[in-house]
Amino acid sequence: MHFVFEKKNVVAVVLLLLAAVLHAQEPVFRLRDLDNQWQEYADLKGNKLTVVDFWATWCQPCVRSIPLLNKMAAEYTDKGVSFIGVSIDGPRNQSKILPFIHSMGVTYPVLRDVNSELMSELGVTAVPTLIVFGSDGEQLYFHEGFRPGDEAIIQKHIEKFLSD
Amino acid sequence: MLKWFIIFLLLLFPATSIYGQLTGNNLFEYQFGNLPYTDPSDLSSHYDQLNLGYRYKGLKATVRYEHFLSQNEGSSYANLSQFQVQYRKEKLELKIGNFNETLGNGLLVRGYEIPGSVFEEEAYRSRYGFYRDMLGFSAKYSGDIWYFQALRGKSLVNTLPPTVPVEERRIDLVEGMETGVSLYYQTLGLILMRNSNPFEKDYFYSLLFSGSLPGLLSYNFEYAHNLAEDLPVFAMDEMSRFGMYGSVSFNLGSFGMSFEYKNYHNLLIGTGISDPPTTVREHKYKVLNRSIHVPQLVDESGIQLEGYYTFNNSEHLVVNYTRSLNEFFEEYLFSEVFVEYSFYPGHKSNLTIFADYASDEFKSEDTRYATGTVWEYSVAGSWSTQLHLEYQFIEREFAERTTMHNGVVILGLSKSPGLTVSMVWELSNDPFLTDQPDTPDIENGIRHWPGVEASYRINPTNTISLFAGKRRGGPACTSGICYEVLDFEGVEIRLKTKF
Repeated sequence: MHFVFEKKNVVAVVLLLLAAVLHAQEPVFRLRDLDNQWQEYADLKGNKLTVVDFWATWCQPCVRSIPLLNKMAAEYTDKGVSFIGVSIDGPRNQSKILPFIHSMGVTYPVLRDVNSELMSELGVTAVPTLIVFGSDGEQLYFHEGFRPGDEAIIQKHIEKFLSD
Repeated sequence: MLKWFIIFLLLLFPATSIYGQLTGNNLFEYQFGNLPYTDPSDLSSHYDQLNLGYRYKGLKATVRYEHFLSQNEGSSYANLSQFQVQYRKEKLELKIGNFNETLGNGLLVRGYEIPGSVFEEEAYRSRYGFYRDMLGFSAKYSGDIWYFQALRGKSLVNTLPPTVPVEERRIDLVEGMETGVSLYYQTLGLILMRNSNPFEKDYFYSLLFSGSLPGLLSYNFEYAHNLAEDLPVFAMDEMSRFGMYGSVSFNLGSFGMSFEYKNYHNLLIGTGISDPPTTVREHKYKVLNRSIHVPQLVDESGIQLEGYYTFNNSEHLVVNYTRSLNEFFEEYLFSEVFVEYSFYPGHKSNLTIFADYASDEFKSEDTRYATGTVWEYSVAGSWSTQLHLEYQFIEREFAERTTMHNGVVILGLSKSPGLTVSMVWELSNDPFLTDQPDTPDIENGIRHWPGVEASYRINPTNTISLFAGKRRGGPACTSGICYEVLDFEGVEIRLKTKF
């Protein structure tokens, strides 16, 4: 068996494990929107909650979830909740994002994570994935996939976080 | 470089450990079984990928540990496969270590990762994360008017597993910069890039022109060309190496459309560090996904036209037309028409139907028809069922004319938010697949791939998945990246953890 397991590698992993989690950190990202303008999380986040939805043009469950999220965005924007769509489409599908999202009538901002870097950073491994952040940047809820009935569960969580 | 990374961590953590945040995720995959017609059939193996990230304000350090253990000799490894220190402040971003970056539209260089995917090559039988990163440094300044990016790194050949020495896995040294100015939503950019490996040293430049009329139209154009002493910088003859990509997208109310054009010639750079837009639709249906046309960067030109229309009740229509032409010694034409319609018959149902026609001369498949449907029905409360049917007919002219059929049936039951159980049955009479390599005869008939898939979300951060049965492999495309998936017969358990 071929092991490349050196002492220094172990030290690095142990050091990371020793660094205890004591404070939630607000996501720090800067991505281009559909008009090629840079957008920062700090400028887009909601006063109370921020809902970040990872999706792709080729993803069938995303196509079903986006109209429902759009309705939710309309309902909760005045209650301090911001919605952000993050397309993980690579260069292959970049030109399709704008017509796709406009034809769906999406009103919330949509950003482009071309290299899936934000996706990896937030531990997202499938689309659609929806993450709810608190006002301090703490990750409150993580929802992977989309099945009938999921919209009610997502809404229930948003209501709960708003009332807490 | 790893030594400096460790020293950095030693200095960083004592000072920030009580203020920072540790995040991570783990993917564990156990397989009991093997490829079909391969001994032993009861092969046992497991793969694990642990990603840890530590962030303090704009400073972040990440590491990735991967290991694979198998009875197959020479395929096991344990490896700290990625590390990165990243600093972000306002418009500035610096990265040292492993990173994924793309210059322009990827005509010259593209790093990528398909999160959560595990790759295996038949020649090595080793499983590992599927990414093509660079090891080096990257600096980016993204101002509102001016942007600049510089990178230098050794690109990973991701078809070679971690058991292969790193010197052989990273032979391309990529050095590049991209800069541009944006005014009134219009951007003009320039890329300069050098790629060197023991066999060649190539210089390229690229011109970028993109912009939008906000909310209405956007366009994107890139022209890349190599820089050689004996060739004019705009030459587009047989000896030249160039790539041209253009797209225009627009929308009017609920109607949206994109048009793309490509022309790539001798654009295979190094071990394949580039990944230009394919201008071919990426299908999610199994029978179509396996048939996706993969661009030949030696010579390929073509167009893609895709339109969307969303009706008032969220019903959604997609129409796509694709045409690609390869000129090697003779011309090979690929063309495809695809239509998909999603609608809601009754308030508890969601139905998607699709139809596809393609002709692919490069694969000697003159005629290819496919159709299918996905039906989702809410039974009661949070329970729902899914029925997924796909059928494909192919006429292939390879030595002799043969016709073949591919089919997929998936029946699933779900409970929102976390439980899904599906029965999957695939079948084909493709002679390339029905023939058993361990017998001297050529078998015909129908080959079946029955299986059961189950997934259960224990809580929002832990998901366990199970597969049992036979899984059909073949070409697959995910997130714009196409690769080969191996067949599998046996049991597979996956545990995804996030913290």
